[in-house]
Amino acid sequence: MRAVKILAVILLALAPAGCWGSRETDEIAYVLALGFDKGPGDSVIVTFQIANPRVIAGLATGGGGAGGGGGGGSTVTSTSTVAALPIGAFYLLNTQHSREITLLQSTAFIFSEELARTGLHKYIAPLNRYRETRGTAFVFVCRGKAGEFIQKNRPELEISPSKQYELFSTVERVHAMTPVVQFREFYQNMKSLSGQAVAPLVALAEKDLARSRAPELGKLGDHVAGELPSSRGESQFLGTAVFRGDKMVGMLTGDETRYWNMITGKMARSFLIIEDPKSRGTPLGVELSQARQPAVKVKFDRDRPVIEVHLYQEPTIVGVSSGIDYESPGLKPVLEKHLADLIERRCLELVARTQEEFRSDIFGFGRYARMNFLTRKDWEMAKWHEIYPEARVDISVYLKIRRTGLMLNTQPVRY
Amino acid sequence: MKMVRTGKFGPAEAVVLLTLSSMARIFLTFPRFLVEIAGEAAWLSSLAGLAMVLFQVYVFLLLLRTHPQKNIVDITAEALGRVAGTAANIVYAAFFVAVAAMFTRTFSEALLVSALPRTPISVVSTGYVAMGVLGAYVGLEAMARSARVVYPFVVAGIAILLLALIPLWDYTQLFPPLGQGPLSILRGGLIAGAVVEVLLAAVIVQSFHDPDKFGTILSWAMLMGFGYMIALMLILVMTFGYNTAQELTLPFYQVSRLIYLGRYFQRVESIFIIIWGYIGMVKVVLTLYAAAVTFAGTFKLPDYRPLIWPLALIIFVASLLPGDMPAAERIEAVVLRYYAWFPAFVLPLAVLAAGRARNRRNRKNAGG
Repeated sequence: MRAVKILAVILLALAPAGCWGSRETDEIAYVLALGFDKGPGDSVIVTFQIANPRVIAGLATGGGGAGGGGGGGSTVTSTSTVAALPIGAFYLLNTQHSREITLLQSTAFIFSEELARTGLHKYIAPLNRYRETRGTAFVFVCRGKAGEFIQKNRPELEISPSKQYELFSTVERVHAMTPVVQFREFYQNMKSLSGQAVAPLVALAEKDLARSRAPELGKLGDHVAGELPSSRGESQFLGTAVFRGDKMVGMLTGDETRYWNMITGKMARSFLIIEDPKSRGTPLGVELSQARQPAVKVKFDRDRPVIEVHLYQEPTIVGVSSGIDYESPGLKPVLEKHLADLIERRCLELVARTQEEFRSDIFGFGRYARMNFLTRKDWEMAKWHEIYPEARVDISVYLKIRRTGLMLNTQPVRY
Repeated sequence: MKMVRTGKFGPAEAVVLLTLSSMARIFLTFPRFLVEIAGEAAWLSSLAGLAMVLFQVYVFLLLLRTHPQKNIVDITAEALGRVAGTAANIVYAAFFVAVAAMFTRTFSEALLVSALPRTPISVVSTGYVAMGVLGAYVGLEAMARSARVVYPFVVAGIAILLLALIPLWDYTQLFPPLGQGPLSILRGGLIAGAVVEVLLAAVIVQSFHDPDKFGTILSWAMLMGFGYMIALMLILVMTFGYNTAQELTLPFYQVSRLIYLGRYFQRVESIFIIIWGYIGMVKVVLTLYAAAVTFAGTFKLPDYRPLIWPLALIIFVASLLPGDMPAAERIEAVVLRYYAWFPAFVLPLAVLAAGRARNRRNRKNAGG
């Protein structure tokens, strides 16, 4: 028993001594975001956005400059390097910095559109294997160079861009004009037989207000990132990159993405400006919110899939510029039908686009289709990705205006 | 000669101890292997495994019922005779050593992959073996009581981890319901049902306050252990889907890394690593203890404790024999789990048959 006691004391003494892999926080450089661009030949240019602890500490104690690079220097620093694989670039980066680089706090992987169109598996797979990367990080596709986006993206409201990427997933619940995609989900869909991957589009604003056109009624945010007219050259998160396998095959605008979110049940809230059904050319604003998850059923008519989608929406009237009393029991159904028809039409147009143009089931209808099969072998033999473009898709929208904002009655303008 | 005993414990402690031991494999590569075999129906394989284990429990119950004051080592020696009985008992002990070695290796590898990538494997393995030696020395009563205290925290930790994943559950991932097909489900069940705990309980049965409750204790332990496994298999497939789940080295750990309930509740896998470390220790302690007790019983030694040191050394060395982690996984999942049925079921069944034949012969001789 004496030997056991001695062994116990030795074990306890060893435990507080730490481990081989211990690293002090002031010896580490935290990578917040990684950008991937096409490099020479088959290589990749990886841009690392690294937190600058000196400036962040200054800001925390009130002694630093403004976030995003004020007088006290930027809270982040960026470095790009070329390698055959992303992790190789990561190791090369250690030769340029005094601190050991770690990906433990990385919250965003940003791939350039050019790279995404050539296929992402060779870049994603090593990241998935590496122990420091997390499945909860967000994936983006950048219109233009990802490295340039990382270098120029300086959110003025946040100390760190890392927080910007994380808050992006929260603010999406307000507009639904972009998908929120974590690394895990992207990787999974890339390899799935039942659905395909999407990723949010990001870009630096390239259009100024002077060149903007009058917005079309019935659509809101009908742009992709970078093309939304804005007075500032800020970063934009708008629209969707559509993938088939690991290759990007197209883009959805912010307006189309709203319907993608609606069909996949991911839309919490959104906003829409439609044409007033009783006053042509007059805008009418509604805030959309999902009443409950969509019901999707997939059957087979011989070998042809028949997909039924039931959408449940509860909009709120936000702005009626015509002054027509849509709160009244007689007119409310008119607005409801008009809105339901519009949503149904837009959803069908989007589905048709994914079938004819992209040939990619980005809605994951295959998840419901496989319920018709007993074994995996049967399901694989059905070749869902090949038959999805031939599927008949019926969409029904059940819509009820439950609330009318802070007005229960609209009186006309009198003069 | 009277064997040194290390205390007795009640049914609740016994159930918890055996449950924790049977849970050890779900923290390692085993769930991945089951998904690879059975596909989306991996949870059905676990269910089939449970049915097989309960049948195994029944066979052991029949065996122990006829010899109320004895454990499987004594019964085997009596039923098979001196030579065959000794050989069979050595097979039992070797099985415990093999299980301890494989779990030491796979737990160490898992810790290296997840948390301690720069620590030499020999250091981590030494830690596990040292804990095993310590636990086996202090005896089963101390282990059982500590397990009883720790168990609610283990359950709460696992429940929090798994329930926090609700936003990622997608029930459609469980379809097609028969996965790779009925035969694959049965094959998965055969692997899932190959457990060391039934044989182990038959070795330590004399440590139970009430050995007559062997069947109840073991049935509850297996129901709980397999309950956790079925829940994990369901959640694993619902979260990752078949294609990705079968790629994962440490499914449970990787599932826990996905918890993201807003910016303030994430990166909680450290809770999991604490639970994991404790359960790994329980497994190594129990198998090392059972190996030492089996050897001591086989050779009629009065004390099992001097055997702990050499057995620990053998376990440590054997754990380092597989050349790499995939090789260790293959040995654990393919070789050990298939052949486990021999010491854990076939041999005890033979002992039961031999014992009954001997009784029949004795009755006939007495009658004739």
